[in-house]
Amino acid sequence: MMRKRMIGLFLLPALVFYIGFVIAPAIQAIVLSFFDTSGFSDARRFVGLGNYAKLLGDEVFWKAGANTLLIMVIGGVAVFLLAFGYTMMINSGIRWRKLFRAAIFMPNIVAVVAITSFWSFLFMPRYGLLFSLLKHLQLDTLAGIAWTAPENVFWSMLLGLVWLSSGFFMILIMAGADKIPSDIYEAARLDGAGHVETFRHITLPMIWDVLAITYVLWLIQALKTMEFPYAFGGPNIDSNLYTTAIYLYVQGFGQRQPIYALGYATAIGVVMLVVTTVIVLACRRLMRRERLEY
Amino acid sequence: MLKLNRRVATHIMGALMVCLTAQPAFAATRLVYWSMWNEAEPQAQALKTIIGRYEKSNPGVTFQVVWNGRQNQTKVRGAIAAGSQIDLVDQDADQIAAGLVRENQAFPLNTLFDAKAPGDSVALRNVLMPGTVDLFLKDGKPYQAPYIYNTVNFWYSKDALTKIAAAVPQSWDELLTMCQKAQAKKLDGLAIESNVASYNALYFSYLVERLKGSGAISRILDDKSGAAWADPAILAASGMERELWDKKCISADARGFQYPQGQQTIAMGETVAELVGSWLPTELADSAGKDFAWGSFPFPTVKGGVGKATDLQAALLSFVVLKNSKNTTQAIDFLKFVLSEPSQKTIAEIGNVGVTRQGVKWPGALASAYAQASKATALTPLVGGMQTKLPDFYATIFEPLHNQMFLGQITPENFVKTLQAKTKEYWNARASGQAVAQNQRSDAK
Repeated sequence: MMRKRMIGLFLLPALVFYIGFVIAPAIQAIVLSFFDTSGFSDARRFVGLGNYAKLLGDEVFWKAGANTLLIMVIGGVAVFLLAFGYTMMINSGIRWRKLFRAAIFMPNIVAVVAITSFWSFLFMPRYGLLFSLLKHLQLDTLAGIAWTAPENVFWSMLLGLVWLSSGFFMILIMAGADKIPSDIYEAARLDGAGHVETFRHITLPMIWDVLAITYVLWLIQALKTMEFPYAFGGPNIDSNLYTTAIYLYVQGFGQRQPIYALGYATAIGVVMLVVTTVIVLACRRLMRRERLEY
Repeated sequence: MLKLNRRVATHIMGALMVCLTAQPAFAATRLVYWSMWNEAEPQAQALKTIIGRYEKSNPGVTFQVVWNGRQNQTKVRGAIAAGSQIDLVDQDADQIAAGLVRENQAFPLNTLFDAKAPGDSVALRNVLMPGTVDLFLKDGKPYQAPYIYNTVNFWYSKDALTKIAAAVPQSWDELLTMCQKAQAKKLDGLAIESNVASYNALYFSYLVERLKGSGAISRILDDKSGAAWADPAILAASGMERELWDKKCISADARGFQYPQGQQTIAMGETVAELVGSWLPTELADSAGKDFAWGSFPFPTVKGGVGKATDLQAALLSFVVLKNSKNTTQAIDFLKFVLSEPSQKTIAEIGNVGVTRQGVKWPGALASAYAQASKATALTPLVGGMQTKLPDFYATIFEPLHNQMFLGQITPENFVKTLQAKTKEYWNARASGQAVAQNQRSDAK
């Protein structure tokens, strides 16, 4: 009994902070989403579900949502394929394993703004690296494509985002893979298994738990994506690069456009919270498997 | 004795009262100023100099300055909600109009413009650039003190114009001719930034205002049925925008230019001009170099249009005094000082920007812009005031749609048709559907 009380006592500060800084603001945000308010004063007008109804007809919101979904799905597939590829390559016994691992992870320790400046320069028409390379290779038709034109700019941004994120997820996957006893791999090799078979039949099932967590982390990250597209799009971000998080920021914080629709922005935030919760729960359920002991 | 003492005490009390009431008006006052500048910027340095001078000439007045940078108004919003005392705020006039003023957080400044600045013999409203005081009136009252003036017009390289042997265009047709001459010399006529939709919308707003007259955009926005977009001038303006691409005034690869790549092509000598604000020479100062010969010309007139070449779009930067300030008199006194001739000269010289006071010389590269500002016959805010009047409509409906049309993803016909339908939808969905009752145009007298 005493022990239970002590545990409760030690947990109390954390609980107070969690309620004060997470739960209470979240409840306040939900309440705020039912109001029309600019946030400049206490003046607010109750609109019920008006903000949510407005979201239904807001094409820019849906476009931002579609972009977020594309990042989550297409970006997710690409990030994990790359991360798996890197893991297979690095675990295949190549020389300078640590060097490759560090090189692939390195973009994650560089400021996002610096990374995005590089990617913007890469795709820049007329002077960009890609343009120069394609011109050098005499691929004039490809060089003539404006990779940052409105119809392409999202995909160019996504490429950079995938490249940046794959290193981080590779490290997580590798951390799981490194825990697999090496004798299992040796036994598989003796039985004639190649890299792909080893990965498919040993690595993948044995790191499934890690993968499930990693994928949930990606989903949450994808749903909140803001810095990379925002920095890629520059100070005057093109709406083709909007994600729901960016759109929330644009609506609520008067950036460039003097829009101070705090109630509406909060409604976007609440929708994001609900979507994130639903997707994470669904993902956890879909990826649930019996745990392998080794 | 007692009687005498009483008399003495009364005199002492009286003397004390006189002393207390006769103190300098601004004794021991601390003005809190939240600034849109970063401390290292030249404009901030200019303001620091002015604040220093003001403090010196007004002993007892001190300043607490918070250099917030461009997110100033957003930060001010949070501070107001938290009950912080702020006296002065500055920001882009358009943003203030749609923010602090619209939300009734600003203090009216009639007394400022009726008063004389130090060293002046006439009221301030008579010494400021035409139209600047009245541009953002709300219910007939001024709430902003504009102190920096950016004109919106074509900025060009004088060397490039000489190279292509073209005259400064006065009409739309002459602009197209300039482009043809540029092409003949393997230069691009005009630069754009595909991702800066608000720059691209300047073409539309100016064309509509040249066709229909200054203030036309604001009038169209007053129509909640969407039918006003069906005016043939709207389709004509859209068609003229596309003409710039069809006639290769703007190069095809500019569809991919991400700010600031388009404007850099002017510094690199590949493009002649860009439609943008008078901040361009400052932004390109490093890449273009000190000796770069800048020129500017007003948006040209169009055939059959009623708008004048002297009708100007302006991007002003203003101070506001907050409504909840306890030092409104002192704050207004400081604004008089900011708008005085010596202070305005300091802003122009150190800040390297145009200012709102007539007769104060603008930096060399902006000389042509000064001439346009002084001769302006009417002023409207950026994009004809659309951002200020209906910021959410502009950001979520007009701007994305216009950029699609401008960059060739939809036709002008489709643009106009969709705009009509979306405007109707917008007003139907808007529960309290009133546009801001603020001026969106001022006659420059």
